[in-house]
Amino acid sequence: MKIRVFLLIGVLFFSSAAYAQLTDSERRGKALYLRGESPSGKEITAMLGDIDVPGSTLNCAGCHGLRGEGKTEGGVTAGNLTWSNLVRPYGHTHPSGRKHSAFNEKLFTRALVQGIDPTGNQLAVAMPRYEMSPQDISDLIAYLKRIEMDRDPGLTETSIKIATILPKDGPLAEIGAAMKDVLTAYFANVNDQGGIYNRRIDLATIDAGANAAASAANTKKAVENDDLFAIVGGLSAGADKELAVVTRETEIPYMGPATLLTQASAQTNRNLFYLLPGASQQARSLVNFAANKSELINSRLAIVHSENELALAAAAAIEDQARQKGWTSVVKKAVSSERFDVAGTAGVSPAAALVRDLKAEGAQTVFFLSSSEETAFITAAAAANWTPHVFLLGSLASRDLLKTLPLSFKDRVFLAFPTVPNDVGPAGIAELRALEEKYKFAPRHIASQLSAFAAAKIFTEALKRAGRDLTREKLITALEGLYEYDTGVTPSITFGPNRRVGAMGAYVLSIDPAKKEFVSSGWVNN
Amino acid sequence: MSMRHHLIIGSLFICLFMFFPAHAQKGSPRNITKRSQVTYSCPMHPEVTAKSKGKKCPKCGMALRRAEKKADQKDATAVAPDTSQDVTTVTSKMNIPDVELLDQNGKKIHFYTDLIKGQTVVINFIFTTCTTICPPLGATFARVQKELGNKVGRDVRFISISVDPVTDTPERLKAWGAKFRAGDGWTLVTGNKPEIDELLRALGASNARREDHSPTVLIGNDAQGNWTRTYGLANTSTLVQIINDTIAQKPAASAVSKTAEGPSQAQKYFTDVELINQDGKTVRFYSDILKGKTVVVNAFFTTCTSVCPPMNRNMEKIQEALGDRVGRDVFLVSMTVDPETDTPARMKEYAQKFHAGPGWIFLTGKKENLDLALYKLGQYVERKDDHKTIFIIGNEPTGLWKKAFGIANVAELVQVVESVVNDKGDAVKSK
Repeated sequence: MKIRVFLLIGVLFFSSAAYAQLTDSERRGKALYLRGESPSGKEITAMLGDIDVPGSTLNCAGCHGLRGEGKTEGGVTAGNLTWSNLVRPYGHTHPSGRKHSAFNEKLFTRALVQGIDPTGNQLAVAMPRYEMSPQDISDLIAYLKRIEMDRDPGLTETSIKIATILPKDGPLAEIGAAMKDVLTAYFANVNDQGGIYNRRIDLATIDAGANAAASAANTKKAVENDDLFAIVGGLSAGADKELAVVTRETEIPYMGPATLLTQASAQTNRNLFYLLPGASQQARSLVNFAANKSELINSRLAIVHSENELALAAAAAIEDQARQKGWTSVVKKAVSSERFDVAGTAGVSPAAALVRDLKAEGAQTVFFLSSSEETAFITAAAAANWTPHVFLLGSLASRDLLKTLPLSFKDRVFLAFPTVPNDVGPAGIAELRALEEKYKFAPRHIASQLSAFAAAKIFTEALKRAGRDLTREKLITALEGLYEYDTGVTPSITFGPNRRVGAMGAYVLSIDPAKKEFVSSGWVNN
Repeated sequence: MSMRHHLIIGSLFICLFMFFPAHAQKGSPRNITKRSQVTYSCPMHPEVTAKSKGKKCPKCGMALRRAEKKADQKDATAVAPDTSQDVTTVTSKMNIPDVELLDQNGKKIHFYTDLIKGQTVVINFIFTTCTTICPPLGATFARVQKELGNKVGRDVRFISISVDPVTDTPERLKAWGAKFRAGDGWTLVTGNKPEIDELLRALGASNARREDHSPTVLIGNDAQGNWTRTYGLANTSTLVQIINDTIAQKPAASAVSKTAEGPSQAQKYFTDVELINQDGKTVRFYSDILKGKTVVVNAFFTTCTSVCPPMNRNMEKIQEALGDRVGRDVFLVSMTVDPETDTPARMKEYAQKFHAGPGWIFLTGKKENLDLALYKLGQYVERKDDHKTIFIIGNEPTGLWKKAFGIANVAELVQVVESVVNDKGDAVKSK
């Protein structure tokens, strides 16, 4: 019995050893293989005929694949570079008819540097010759010997290790706990059903910390030390820029951070996927909506904004989108958000002064981006007998607006929302309720829980689509392939090679001041 | 089995040309040291040389031949790439649609009007998420751009067309171009998929899967109507040369299109090399043999005892069947693949054996001239014994060319000849 246990441990140890950490040499070789740049900083030059380009332009992985498997494109076939294949004792016969005997380290180096195969034939024309240091070459060979067994971080035969980012302490701790309930239950449920292709999902939690810097530092540490495959859901609010940098640098995919400050595009950071539109995307939808009102097109457009990050980003988006839509007269006005409705020394409140100025300038379209100050502004405008069209971000508006909107502003005030209660369909809510019952957690902070649920669901769907032979690259490709995917609790989600915001647009709602309720104008794309 | 099955009928003029370069000699593995001793040059253009076998002359398309290496030529330790590059001259004017697309700055452009019309252009086909052949294609363009210096943007325009317009936004193209230091004379285009697809089809670069797109570079001048398609990887010197040639030809060609006095497209293709007929008279291949005529051409040599006699017997039977129309409606042309042996006198003797009338011309001449003429018809072979048993039947004025098996049933052959003689030009137009 003892022996059997011992054997079993031996087998386990052996199989996990295959996926153990890379040695330093292998790690350098991997960087070189994937990016064509030497980690030592030494120059690598690729010579293609008489053309010399940096090694990064023609890196190994580009043609030979992330796993050295080789591929064919445009009639050019890049061979399988895994070491066991290169040193096959009976050599190779290529589709072109070229034959050669087996490689060894010396012959591989000659092929790399001089472009000659073991038998002395020239390599295919599309294969560059490389000028690189002996150290780099030996690192590369070390990695090619390992490449078959190498996997992306966080992956084993039986598990996928992921993490979420949530605040442990402070005012948001309770929201964090509510989201964690959902994520833990969701993945526990996946594991209880057998996992994804026989891999269970292990969820860790990264503490969002007290500020953006702590959030980024904790995440970076966790990604580098804990072998994580991806990050899913959680609260990134406030640390969006910093986390975007971390995900780019560590190349870890991050699915579904809940934030209004969506960062970057697919082009600058492929790893970040957002579920819902941020302030900028919602603002653009508002402009598109305004552009469909014939009386507003080419009216004088004013953007009133406070000077925080979110309002500035939205203001910039509005200005850009308005110019694209043909507005020529666009002004931006920064306002301080303190004591907006209190009369100052001159006996006039900042709100009244702003109304006076804008009215005098003849503004007809006002985008108002100052948190919870819109009521004061609209009240002042109504007092001055001035009724411009006012566009707001729902997430910045106060609840009072619904109750206090003057009757003269009927059909004049429009708000953008990333999602509305109607998005939560019966199927989605049933799924969430079933999780609550099975894993015994309480519904609280519903919006946050729905966001976590949607992120977990989409991530799981992408894992299924990526297949058993999983890589981060395949996960990203699978996410990019999602088209109008229905999470049951959000607008339908579409990603693409150039799209990192799942629901790209916003709901636009107006207020009926008589009934004191919202009237939907539907979803507006951008 | 019906004899019809033996008839290989290639109907389009242009298609015929496409087949010809397929005789590129497949390079077998060669010893490097041995190879660096020799150079290969074009029989027609001795200034065109290459270090490796199997290349073709970018000017006339002939395979380069082995030549003695000049003492002063330096030889780099590196070996010239073993490429299967094809240079194909597309003589017909391409019908390039004026589709509305976007350049890398997001500016709307009309492809034909803004980029092609009246200009010399070099076009490659890329997509920005391609990691295999596109980086080398970009690097090649970058190098050629550098070599051509200030000619780029002034005398020649570089164009990269995205084959994945759905992914490739102008911003992506701009970033991709920046990687290869694309200058002002290098336009990268994307657009809506239907328009890009239409354009790619017109340029002969359409593929169902973006991964299948070929590393082709298309060089041409719209005013000349002269387009060259070549292999775009690691081929800087050839590209630079073709571009320079295309730029240089520009004025002459624009004069042609106005006055219609200069060489026609067909003449440019076939060339007017001098050959000698069975009476010892010098004739020009295009002007005297092909121009304005319907011809039936075969390749043979007089000392051939296997397929040549039955093949020429068939030619004789065609002569019989067509009677006095031979020499008026149709000309028969037999070209030797062994001009060293086949003197005009021998040819005459051979002609008499087959009762050749005045409408049946036998051609010999200088070997390089004959080789070029045969090459243009797809009949060039390295060894005379390899010569083909194909009749090339063409109506030069209408541009309809067909191939037929030379030892097929005569009735079938006559039918093909009749179809070419009677062509009114509809056959080519309808395609």
